[in-house]
Amino acid sequence: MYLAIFRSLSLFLLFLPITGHAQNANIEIDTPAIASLEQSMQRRHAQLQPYYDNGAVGLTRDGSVALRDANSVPLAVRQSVNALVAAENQDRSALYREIARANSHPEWEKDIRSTFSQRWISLARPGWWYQQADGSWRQK
Amino acid sequence: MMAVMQAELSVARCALFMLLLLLPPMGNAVSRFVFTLDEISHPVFNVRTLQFDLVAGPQGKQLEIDIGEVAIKNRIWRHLKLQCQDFQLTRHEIACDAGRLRIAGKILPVTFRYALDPQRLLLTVKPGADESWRLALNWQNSIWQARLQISNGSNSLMAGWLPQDEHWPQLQAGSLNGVIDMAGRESEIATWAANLEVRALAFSDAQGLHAGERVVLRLDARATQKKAAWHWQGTLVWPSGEIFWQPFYFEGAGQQLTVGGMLYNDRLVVEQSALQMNGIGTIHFAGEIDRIGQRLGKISLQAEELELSTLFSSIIQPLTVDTALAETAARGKLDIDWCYQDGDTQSLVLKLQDVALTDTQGRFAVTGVNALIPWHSNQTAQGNIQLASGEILHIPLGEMETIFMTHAHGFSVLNLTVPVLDGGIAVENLEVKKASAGWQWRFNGKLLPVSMEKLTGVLEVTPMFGNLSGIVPQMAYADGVMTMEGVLVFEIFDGVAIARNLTFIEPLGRAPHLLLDVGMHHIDLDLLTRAYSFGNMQGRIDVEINDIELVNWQPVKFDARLVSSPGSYRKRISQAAVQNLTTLGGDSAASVIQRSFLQFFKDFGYKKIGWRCRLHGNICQMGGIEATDPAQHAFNQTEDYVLVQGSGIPAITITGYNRLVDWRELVKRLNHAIESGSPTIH
Repeated sequence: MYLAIFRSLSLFLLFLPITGHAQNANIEIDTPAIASLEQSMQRRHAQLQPYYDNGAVGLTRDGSVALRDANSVPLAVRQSVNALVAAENQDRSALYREIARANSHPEWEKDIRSTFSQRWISLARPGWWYQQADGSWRQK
Repeated sequence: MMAVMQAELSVARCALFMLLLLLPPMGNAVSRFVFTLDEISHPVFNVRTLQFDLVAGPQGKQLEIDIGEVAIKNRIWRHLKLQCQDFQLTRHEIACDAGRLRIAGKILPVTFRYALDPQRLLLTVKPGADESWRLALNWQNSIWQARLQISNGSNSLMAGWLPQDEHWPQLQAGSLNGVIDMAGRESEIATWAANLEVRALAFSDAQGLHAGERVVLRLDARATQKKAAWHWQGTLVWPSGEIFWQPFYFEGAGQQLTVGGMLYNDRLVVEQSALQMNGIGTIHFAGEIDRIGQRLGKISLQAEELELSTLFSSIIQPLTVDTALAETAARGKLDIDWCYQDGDTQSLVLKLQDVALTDTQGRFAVTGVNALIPWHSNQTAQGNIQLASGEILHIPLGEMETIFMTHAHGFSVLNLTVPVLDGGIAVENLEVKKASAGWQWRFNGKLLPVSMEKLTGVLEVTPMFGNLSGIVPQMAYADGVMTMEGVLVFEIFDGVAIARNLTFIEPLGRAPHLLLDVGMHHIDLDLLTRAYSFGNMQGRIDVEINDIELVNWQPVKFDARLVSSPGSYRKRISQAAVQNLTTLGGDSAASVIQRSFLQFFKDFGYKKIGWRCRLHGNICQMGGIEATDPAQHAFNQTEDYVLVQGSGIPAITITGYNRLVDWRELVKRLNHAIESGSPTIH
């Protein structure tokens, strides 16, 4: 599922403009580091998906994920969801950085992050929560 | 209670009593008495607009008291009403056995009994079927004692006494049982003691980041006022339930907090207290809080033989989710001695006993660590560390021991030898410090000869032979980047390899980048090809690989050039090597060999060898022997290029046809040729 989303995102990105100065960035670029990060995120997605579905975890406006409503997570699991979110954000940050590096423009990282942020939200499932530009949360 | 109240109250109460007693019996007639007080002031409480309405008739006396407002400390209740249908009034006692109190929108059953000699008040409120709050108050002159007995006190009543700030967790469930005793003189409390148990406590803030469920807590506390200070002590036990307090999660298992000290007007003093945490150990602490400035004055904390595995997973790891420690398992024992004062840590002494740290991602591990790590904010201190074994990025480290000096911003090591396989790293002048951007370190030293065979073996990469050594003028780490000045020298295949311009970006990050240049000189092809079962070649080569970039140890970029070394030496190439070399430039040459008479020869002569690969992404741009004419370099416009230029009898020239080759496919084919060890043609 996650791979499908990731691939869909890649295809989607081909037809949509990239924000900022990184308009010529090849988002679909493939390197061992990017492939490794994709695999890592793909493995984690199965663990995160229930929390996207029940609204505990949402997509932030900066291309990360956040524990937005822990009430829907059993108390004993909240710490591990925290760790999942932290690990996912480390991978996401590394992914944006690696795509920028692979395009030989490390300075594009911020624009690539911004582009991914918008596309993650565009491809989110109905019912998932995302952060709006003003920081408030909205359910898709 | 009269004695403890101020004059206004005393006067009012006396007047009421007198009038009540003067109510005459009226036969079947009904008499009514209404009495109003504007305000009753007391240091503890304040009552406004108090109206008594007493009706006496054949059915007995009925009392109704309306109170406009009652304030106790910061809590305010408005529009209270007490109704008593069976009000009893004698010269010695006032009693109501079936009253109803309306408070905060609720109607609560109330009974009270007030005796005059000795003076005693019994007040019972029963908000629910199983819930009761019973207050017994006795006094004589200015001395009084009170006891509050709570049975199944509901969370709604408890919540009323907690902060109502929306950022604070709100009570959702729970019941309170126990006794609170107090004694004092006039309006002052002289001593109190509480023995309480909270059951099935549930609380949460709006985001669920600070929450508890099914929590049971037992409190045994007491305090006595002596002169200007309260002397207090208490024990809080947490036998069951669970609490998540971002980012920590704990289950109640008998944890016990024992605290005591003194409370002054300006400060709270904590003396010789202890926190006993199951599975971790006992932490002793003392400290002082500035009540005026609302800040921590000082803390001293000591603990011995804390169980590091539990401490690490439950307390340290949740605080380090953004670091490599997030995926680290620990075991061993830890002693701590921490002193904090005036907003800063003054000293911290750690003692590690047989500690092991293992990264679950396999990036690093250390075992058998015994260390004394002293740190003081205003002076240097000497520590020592012993390490039984370790591993970093799959490279094993041997036993080592050193002393070090700590200072305000870091530590330094004069000399340290880190055994690595059969060699080691001699570290000199290691300086580690904490800067605003994070940890930084630097050292100089040398690499003692390490077997390349062993090193490539543990790294599970293509095996190489010889030794790795070098002088390191300076190795430094800052902002997540490790850089090396100087060169590392490899003695391999009877030649020499030199690594230079080494930069390691985020070595423990999600995608470590290694950048370097490597030059190899006079490599013996016979030794090289024998080592890899590639098919025999004889001769010497020089290799320059510049702009190497490895990510996760996989190459993503380099510019490699391989040429025959200058000089006179035997140059032969076997059919097997020919067959495998064709994988570098397309397989048509192999087909030619298999079909032609050349298959009858064991090996061939050649004049020179040349190969070039400029890798970017997954594509290798290939080239062969560079043209002598500078205008026609290796990447000229022609499609074919020469990998092996033949010479002698029999001779063979190998030509490559594919300029752009998928790197992963090329590596796969080469690995297959090497791993099979049985090339198609011999």
